[in-house]
Amino acid sequence: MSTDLRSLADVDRLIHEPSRTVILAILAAVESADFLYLQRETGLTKGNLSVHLSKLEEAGYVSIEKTYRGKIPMTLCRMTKNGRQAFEAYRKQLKQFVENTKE
Amino acid sequence: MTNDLKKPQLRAIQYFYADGSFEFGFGLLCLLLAIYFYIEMHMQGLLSVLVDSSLILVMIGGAWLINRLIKSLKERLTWPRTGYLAYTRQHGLKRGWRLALGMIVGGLVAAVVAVLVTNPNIHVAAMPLLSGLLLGLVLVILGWRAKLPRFHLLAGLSAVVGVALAYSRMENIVALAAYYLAFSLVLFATGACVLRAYLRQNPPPAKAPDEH
Repeated sequence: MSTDLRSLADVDRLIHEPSRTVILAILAAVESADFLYLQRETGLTKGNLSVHLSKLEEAGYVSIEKTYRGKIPMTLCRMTKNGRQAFEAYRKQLKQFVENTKE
Repeated sequence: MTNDLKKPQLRAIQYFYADGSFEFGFGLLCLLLAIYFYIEMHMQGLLSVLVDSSLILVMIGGAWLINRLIKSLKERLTWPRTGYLAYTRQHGLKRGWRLALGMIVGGLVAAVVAVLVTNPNIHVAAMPLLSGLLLGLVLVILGWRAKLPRFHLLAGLSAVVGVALAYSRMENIVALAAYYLAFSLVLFATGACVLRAYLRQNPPPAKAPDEH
């Protein structure tokens, strides 16, 4: 396998899934986001979003907290330090791959 | 692909301005300043000194009030409809650079105004000109950062109102109060349009059946 392709083959498969990539891209830009915002942005159903968030939480990339803002119950999602590092590494790998395969 | 990753991040920044609450808050601050300058122009003697020195309190109190207003609006209208986002506060070097840049640009604008004011051939009320240009600059930066063209339009309006009042031959303080009043009305009108569009696009959530 060429080094160009190897850089893509080595990416974190947990992040390299479109819905989870979008979830992490949002969480990387903010301190926290609630379930409703993530659902609207990703266009996923509640069930699917829950599954993706659970996988990210299990990997230690995201922390989930059930809380209240005023009288509104919320499921708040935050990116952990590990998650930020993993997402940054993924972003760099992807950028590298795009740069290497430019015509 | 990496550019695609930036789109949801940009939308997260734009989300703060999606409901017009920023314009309402900013407009309220301008209205408070208009009232402050109106009161100031009618004060004399010791009262005038007291009012002069209370500007910082008006600014701090106004900022607190605006923060509460924006939060309350979002809590009632925005978060139940389209969700909650908390933004990262910047610390350290990046924040320092921004402050330094802001001070340099502010200094440059003040220098331009000083040149205009010290020229005996030009009759200019410096304060509305300075306010119009500075607020315009802040709005240009916001519009550029959030990629929202309406802020560029507001910036243009701020500059036009500031320049028009500066050359209106009004007294400096009267022109300043008029500037803040006019611009607060512009901001309230913009905020109302943005809020109306937001509410139309995002109807209130349907109540889920009780879970037992």
